[in-house]
Amino acid sequence: MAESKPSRRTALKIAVTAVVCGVVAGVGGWLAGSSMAPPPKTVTETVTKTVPGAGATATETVTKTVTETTTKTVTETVTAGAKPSGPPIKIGHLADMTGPLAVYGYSNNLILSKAIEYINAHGGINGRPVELVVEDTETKVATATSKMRKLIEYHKVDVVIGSQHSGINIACNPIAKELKTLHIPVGEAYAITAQKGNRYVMRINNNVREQVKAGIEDAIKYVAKKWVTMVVDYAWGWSNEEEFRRYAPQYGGEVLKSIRVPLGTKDFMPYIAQIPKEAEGIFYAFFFGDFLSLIRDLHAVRPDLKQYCPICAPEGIDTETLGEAFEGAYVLSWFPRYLSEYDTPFNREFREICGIDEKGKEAKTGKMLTLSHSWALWEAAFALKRAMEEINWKSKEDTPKLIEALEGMSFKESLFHVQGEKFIRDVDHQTFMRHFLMRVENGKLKLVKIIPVEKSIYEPEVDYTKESF
Amino acid sequence: MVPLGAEFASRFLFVLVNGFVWALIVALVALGLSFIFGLMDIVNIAHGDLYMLGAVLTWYGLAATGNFWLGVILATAVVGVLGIGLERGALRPVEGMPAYTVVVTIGISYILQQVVLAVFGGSPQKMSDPFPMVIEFLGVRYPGYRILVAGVSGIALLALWFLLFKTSVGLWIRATMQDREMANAMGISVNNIYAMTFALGAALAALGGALASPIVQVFYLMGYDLLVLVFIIVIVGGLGSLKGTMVAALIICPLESVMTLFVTPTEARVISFLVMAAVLLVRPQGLFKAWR
Repeated sequence: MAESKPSRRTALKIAVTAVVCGVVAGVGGWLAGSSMAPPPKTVTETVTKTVPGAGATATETVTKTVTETTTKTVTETVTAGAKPSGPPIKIGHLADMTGPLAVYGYSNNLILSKAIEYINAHGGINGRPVELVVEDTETKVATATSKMRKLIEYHKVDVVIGSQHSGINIACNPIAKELKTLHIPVGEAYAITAQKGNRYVMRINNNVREQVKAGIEDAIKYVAKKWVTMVVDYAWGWSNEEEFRRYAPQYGGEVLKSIRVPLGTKDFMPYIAQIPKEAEGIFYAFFFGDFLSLIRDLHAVRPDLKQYCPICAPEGIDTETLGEAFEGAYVLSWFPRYLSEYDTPFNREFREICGIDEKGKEAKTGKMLTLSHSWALWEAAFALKRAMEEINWKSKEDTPKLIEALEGMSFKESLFHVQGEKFIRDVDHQTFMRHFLMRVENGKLKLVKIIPVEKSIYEPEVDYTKESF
Repeated sequence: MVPLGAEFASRFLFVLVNGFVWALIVALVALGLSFIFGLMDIVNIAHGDLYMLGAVLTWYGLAATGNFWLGVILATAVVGVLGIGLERGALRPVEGMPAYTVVVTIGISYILQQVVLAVFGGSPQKMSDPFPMVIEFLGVRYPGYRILVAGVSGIALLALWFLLFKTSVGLWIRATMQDREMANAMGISVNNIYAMTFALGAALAALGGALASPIVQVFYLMGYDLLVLVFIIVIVGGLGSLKGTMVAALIICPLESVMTLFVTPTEARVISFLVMAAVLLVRPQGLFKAWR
């Protein structure tokens, strides 16, 4: 039985076993790839839809703020009628279609493609059709940077709408500058439009500093005075912790302790054990599984703690399934997921066009969307359209003009800016907007109050307008 | 600075209890690994994935039957049967050659992960608490389910001990562990013992996963995190020594847990590695010697 050396026969058996393992693993991997989400491939879709009746005309009056002093008013008209023709304007989307942020990737890409579909059905941009080119980041920085180059150098896109992942955004910013392409990131780390940004980076959504500043006064008023912060241990979490510690004392709050927890931690108990007894409220920044682990263990061990978190925590999760553990929590949202909490005609029409139901799910599939984030891609598409039409965009050579047009642009609430009024600050290319304080009641995210744009404005630390193109 | 006083005492008690709860779950998984290595010389890299499979199947079992405990039993049984298949189908040709078993079990590991990714999906799932009771002791609140899990793990470990030391099957297993040729000569069907051992080891991993599933996030890569810890425990305890594995689990998990009072949990894991390195320097064979 005990052979000192494997015989030829044994060696053959081993070889065959290894090959079979390899083949099965390969098939498994292939299956996995195909069922998870679309495999990393290029989706090039040009939507040519029959234009609806000539009566469908939407008119929007908008104000553009150039620096803080001069104001000019333009009228933007989207008319159904002319079918776009000529060479397409290409918009690249660096989407997190697979990996940890796949839920965001799916939702963001859905909303963006609906926006492009809408634009093409209403005459395109400057009469030209818009083509969406999607590349999958796999939620990995290394993959994303090469996909960023692929979009620009191989697909020759005119503009890139970026990933939801702040790390990817930061890594892609220098590439945007190097290849002289406008990059619209949708991640939320502060640095993206501060130390880590440049003139080619234009953020059309909020960032962590803005979020924390917007919400802090009400958090201290409604939730608690003595706080503990608990965040996921990477850039986005740190950003939340730092900003909360920065602003809480200014409004009479006190942070007793700050705890950082690695992403995907199996057991939150050792971290929860570190929370001081006298803490009244917990401000936390986690998402998906980490968030679920935290609230359940928190509910068991420290049910006295009042919770406050950014919408990123319950995003993509049906809060009605969370039960007692999340009941009564305060959530700062960028856009209410329930129609009932922000029932505007624009929001109704937006949901109708995108196929989103009243609870923020995709009506066709029942999939939970990340609507409180994905609205930003809808608005980015229409901001681009407006700026491109203003400068009469011809080719990528016009990128500097496009950036100048966007610098300081402001938007009124409309179908195209469904989240509400906002403006892009010229110096740091950061957008300032309203926020929504929500509270969980019977599992539903109910609106407590709308926090106006002014509450979120902070002093800029950079001035990109001094950078040459 | 060391915080002292009543609050420190209650936090100490809390993390200590938590450490012991984990020790019992991890001991189940580690014993399976140690068992398989001790008897068959198989370094089972897929052990973490069998743990993961236990959790995933419990998730499905719960969804299908509505009863968590039924899910635990089903998951354990299914993975046990799968263990027989793996031993017969993939591992038998390489048994006795540990280096080859690493390659084969890595293959099995990838297959299990990718199949779960394909079927279960890539996002972590959180199970509802099957026993939503909170135990309050000396002003410390602790989830009742975790205490229950510790109890169930303890019972499973006792049952394993009974099987190994009080039944004839256990005698055959131990005999095969000590000297497989002699056992064979004495009329013990070594092949059947092998299949049974692997199945038992796999089932222990699955039981660990099933019991841990409401505590952790059910995720297709959840085995990785645990596999590292389990290897530390098995190596510190002495490869193939069941007593050593048990003792190491009961030392390392509470130690790591208590260390979190003073350092971050990530640094506590580093300390576990240092303990392993120190033990291996002094006793390269581990704390206890294997039976063989």
